[in-house]
Amino acid sequence: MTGLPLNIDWQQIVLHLFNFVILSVGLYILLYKPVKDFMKKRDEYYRHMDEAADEAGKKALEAKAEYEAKLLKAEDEIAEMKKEATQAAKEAADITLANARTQAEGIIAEAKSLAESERERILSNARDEVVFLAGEATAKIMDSQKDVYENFARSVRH
Amino acid sequence: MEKEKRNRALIVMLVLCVIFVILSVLTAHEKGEMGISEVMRDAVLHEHEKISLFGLFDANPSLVSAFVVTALLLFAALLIRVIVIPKFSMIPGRFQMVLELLVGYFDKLSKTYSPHRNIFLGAYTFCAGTYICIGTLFELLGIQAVNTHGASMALPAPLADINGAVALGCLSYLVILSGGIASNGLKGIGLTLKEFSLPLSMSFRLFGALLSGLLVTELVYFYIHLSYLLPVVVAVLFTLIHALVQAYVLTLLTAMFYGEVSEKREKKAKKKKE
Repeated sequence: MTGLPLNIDWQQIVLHLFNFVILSVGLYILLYKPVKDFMKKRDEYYRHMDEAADEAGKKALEAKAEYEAKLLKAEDEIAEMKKEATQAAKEAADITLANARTQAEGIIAEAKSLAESERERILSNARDEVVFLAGEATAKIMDSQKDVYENFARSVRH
Repeated sequence: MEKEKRNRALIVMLVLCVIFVILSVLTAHEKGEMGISEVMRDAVLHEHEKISLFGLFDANPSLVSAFVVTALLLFAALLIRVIVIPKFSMIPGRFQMVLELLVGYFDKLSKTYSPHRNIFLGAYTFCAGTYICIGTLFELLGIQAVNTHGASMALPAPLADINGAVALGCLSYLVILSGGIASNGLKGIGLTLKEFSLPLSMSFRLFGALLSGLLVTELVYFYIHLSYLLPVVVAVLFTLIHALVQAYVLTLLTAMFYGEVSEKREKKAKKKKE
């Protein structure tokens, strides 16, 4: 069918269309779709990697926070234990000191008692000695006085 | 020593050039052949130079070019599908990068201009862009065919024929229309038909642009003297620019209009009578 301006031919237009449709279908199946599918697959792969990295980062942050909390708790526990240990040591020291004091007091009391009994004994011995010495002295005096008395009696008689 | 060698090579090249000039003048067009006006008229209308299509009918040379380009493209696509694509790796090589760049460009183009509906548009613009670009570059190969007069002729670009340009322009319009119908139903037809001049403008823009390149090349190289003044590289660059620009323009226009008509229109709320 000719006669149209610019030599337009409907048959050739249809043939051009037919040719282009075949080309489009072929290019779509052979080239466009496989390449696009591959690009999509790769995008998915990297998106998954990205998500996994994000997830790992999030987990790491959570673990870090958890460890920090644990560390803080451990520090508190250590401080508490230190405090308790100090308290226990102080109590033990107090008990030991009290015991030592009691023991010392016992020793002192015993020493005092011994000293008292010793003093008593010494005093008793001294008293006995004094009595003895006094007796001795009296005897001696009496002996010496006997002459005096006799002299006196004699003088008197005389 | 090296200077002597260089001078000798220059003299040989000069002698060869003179021989080719003399030969080209001796084998120039004879007066009985077509003149420039006839050559240019035939480049536009294809009234004289036709090629018999399997003996069925006489077709314009561009139709034969279209078939050859399609065959070449499909063969190349098949080879790429069988050999290259199965070896695609996550870190692409050069050829893989080129393929991904092409597909990615048209996919991005369709997503940019038609964000709501773009799967079919991406595939269409890819095919149309490839066809226009490779089809235009095809004329550089200068594949020879025998016309109905028994003379040999170089096959032109498929779209340098008004019939090829009209076919692609109208098909692009139909694609735009299909986008409108798919998204907005009957309203989409209305929206597309509003742009009734689109198939005409698309067809003739494509035809005009590709034909102008052909005509300028014909004009320049018709005269043997101009062939020596303008190097062949000018024609090659001219064709390359045409191929890229026309592929870009048609795909861009198709994507823009497709996006416009396939955009979901919200129904206007009816005003309540007070």
